[in-house]
Amino acid sequence: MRQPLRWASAFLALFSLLSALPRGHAQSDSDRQQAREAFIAASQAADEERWADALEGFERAYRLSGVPTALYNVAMVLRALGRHRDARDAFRRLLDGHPEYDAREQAQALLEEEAARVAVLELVGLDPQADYELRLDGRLVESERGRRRELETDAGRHTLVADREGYRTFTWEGAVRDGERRRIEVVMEQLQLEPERRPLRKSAAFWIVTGVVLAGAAALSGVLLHRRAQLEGETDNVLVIP
Amino acid sequence: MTHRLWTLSLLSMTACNQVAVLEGELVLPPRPAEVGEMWVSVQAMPSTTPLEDTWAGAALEPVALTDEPLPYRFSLETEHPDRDLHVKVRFCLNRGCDFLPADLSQSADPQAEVWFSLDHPFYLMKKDPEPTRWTAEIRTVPRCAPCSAGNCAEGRCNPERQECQLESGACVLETTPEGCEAVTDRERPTWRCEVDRCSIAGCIAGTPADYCDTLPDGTRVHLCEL
Repeated sequence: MRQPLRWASAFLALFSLLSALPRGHAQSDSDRQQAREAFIAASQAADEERWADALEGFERAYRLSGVPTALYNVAMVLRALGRHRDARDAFRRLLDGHPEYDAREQAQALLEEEAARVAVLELVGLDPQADYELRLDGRLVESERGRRRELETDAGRHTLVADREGYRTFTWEGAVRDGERRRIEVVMEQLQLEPERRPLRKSAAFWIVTGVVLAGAAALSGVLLHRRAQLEGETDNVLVIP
Repeated sequence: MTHRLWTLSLLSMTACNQVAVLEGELVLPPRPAEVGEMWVSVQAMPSTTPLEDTWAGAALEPVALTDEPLPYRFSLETEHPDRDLHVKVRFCLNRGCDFLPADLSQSADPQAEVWFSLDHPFYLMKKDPEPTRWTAEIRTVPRCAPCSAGNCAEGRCNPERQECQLESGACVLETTPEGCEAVTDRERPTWRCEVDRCSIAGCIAGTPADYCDTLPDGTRVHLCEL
């Protein structure tokens, strides 16, 4: 998604805004200078579709300056990366945090567009009274007891792992599309609780088995030694007859 | 997998070494007075090997005769206990008994032999309560009967060697033990002795008259065959 005009106009807007901002917003001239440099570098990276660099630069510029255009660009980069859930949240932060932002209508439209592209994994079959540990793509997901378990994610392949004490781990792997709502039935097998074990050496079965094995070994050794004795001559003067 | 290997190991230990052993003891005669040294070589082969042949190898440790009767013990092993056994006892003037002159009649080393044919001396796993054992005594070294002035009861006296000789050229043996016979078609003095299976000790404690039993049908079987 190339939007060079957007980055350029945003740069101009940022430059003018930074100039007009009250001194208290940006902590220092140094911060303003660093924010400006970060914004310029991020815009350049976005033009070249180096989205990771662009994201980092716009986030830094927003942290240093608080300029809503920087946050807008953060959301746009996330959108370009296909991180629709994060893009939606960024637009939401923009609208909630900057009521003065002059492109609110555009931001709102993009927010709704991104929200519609967020995929949802709906977990059913979970005990509302039980605690679960849920991991989506390896990351721990907050899951409070009693709440309906819905996990937002983006399009693509995902892995969901659910753990519950006393149950076998449940794993789901699959792909979802933009805006898809996938119902996942979580069926977990309860582990069989092993009976309390007596220490092995205190077990009668242990000693019985050990005794039988030793007796068998002794008998076998005796037989083998006996057979061996049978096979050996009494003298060292031995001749093998062909 | 592990227990299979263990089982195979046990099988190899128990099944692959089916060796039968015969303990032998020969009481050898005193060294003849006329020789300074005499050695004995004992050879053994399956009965499929003719006694008349010259056997290469198959010899036990040689032993030198002494002034007294000498017990000579040995052990014979085989994986073919069903075979009968031939044993040769050769008396020689050198340790290896490897001096074999072309004309024995002209040799100072007649290399007398005693042949034994043992009937079924081996039994598998038959060592309790006693090992299978064969014992024989050779009281004298076989030798030709000396003669003087034509006093040979059979044959004739060879004046050159002063020995009684048969028409075949073989000498008349001075003595022949009971149970043996003289081999008269050989130049070297030789006895041939048959050893019945019932004289092979084994499978019973003590010293019975023999080591066979008679089945109801009159068949004689060795105690190790019961």
